[in-house]
Amino acid sequence: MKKTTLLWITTGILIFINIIFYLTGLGGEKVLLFVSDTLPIISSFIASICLVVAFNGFKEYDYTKIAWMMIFTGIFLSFIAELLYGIQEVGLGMSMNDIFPSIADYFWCIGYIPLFIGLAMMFIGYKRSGFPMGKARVYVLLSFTYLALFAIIAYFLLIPIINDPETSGLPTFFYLFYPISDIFLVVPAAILMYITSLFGKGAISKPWKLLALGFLCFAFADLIYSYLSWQDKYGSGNLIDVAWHLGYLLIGLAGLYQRELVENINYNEL
Amino acid sequence: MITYKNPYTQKIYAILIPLIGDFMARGVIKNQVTKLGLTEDNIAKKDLSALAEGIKKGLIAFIGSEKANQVASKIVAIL
Repeated sequence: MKKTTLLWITTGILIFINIIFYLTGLGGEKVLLFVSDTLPIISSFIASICLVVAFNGFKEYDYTKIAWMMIFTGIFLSFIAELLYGIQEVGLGMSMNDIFPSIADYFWCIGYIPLFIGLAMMFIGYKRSGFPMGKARVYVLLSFTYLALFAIIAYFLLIPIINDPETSGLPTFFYLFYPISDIFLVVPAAILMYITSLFGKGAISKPWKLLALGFLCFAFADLIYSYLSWQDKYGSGNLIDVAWHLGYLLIGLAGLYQRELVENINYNEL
Repeated sequence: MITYKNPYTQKIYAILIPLIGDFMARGVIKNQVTKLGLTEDNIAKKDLSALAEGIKKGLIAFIGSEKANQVASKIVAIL
């Protein structure tokens, strides 16, 4: 069985388990907490391994390999964050709302830097290549959508957090950091998504498509998390966790498809 | 799918299609020939290395230098 097929099946099983536990509350709150903290560790670990597989497929140290290494670094830092979060909440029985921001949040935040660099490198590399960029009107439409999204997020989330007298200092920084970083991450992800749509069914675009989808899942989950967490309404076992797990697994799939693509290109077969 | 009159263009198109799909293959060829002051219909053998170089640069973003070089070599080797 191909590695990509195996990971699709694993993704389906993990997401199914995820949804079943969240919807039924099977086994009570302790089990839900355990599932909620364990699945992201497993998903981010799988994604990290797949990204190592991806960048090891490149023989030369060019910007493409470095971009994939950057994405690996970001996801690996997220894996450490998920692990620390799980240890603190399940292992040490800490209340994560009380200790926010926890040490895990620092790892998540640092992880954004290589992720953004990796995506930006891919986009800049592509732009410099002289390959078609698509229609200008789509970029105008994307810009307007982005500005509208930014205005909505600023109005409903960022400004209320800044003006909240009960939140200050580090917690405010972290509550603001996630949605703002996601807004920045969504830009290259959305552009990559559009560029890959130009490729139709071309094999080359599959890794980028999955990568962009993975980051869009993260952005969606992070924005809702920031709002719920700020309102003290986020508890382990929330259905939005599925978007994070799916995001990790889609990024892992992107890594495997990238390796498969590189391996399948053979001079003699072209 | 499209059929080019020029046999070199047609062969480049055939090399690119499994990798980047029909729409992009046409777009890439059009972009690259325009850059060289050519059209899809008047590509000559002497233009192949310059075309291959341009296409290689674009492919590096997706498949890395090593494999992009292989694709470029295949284009240059069109007879």
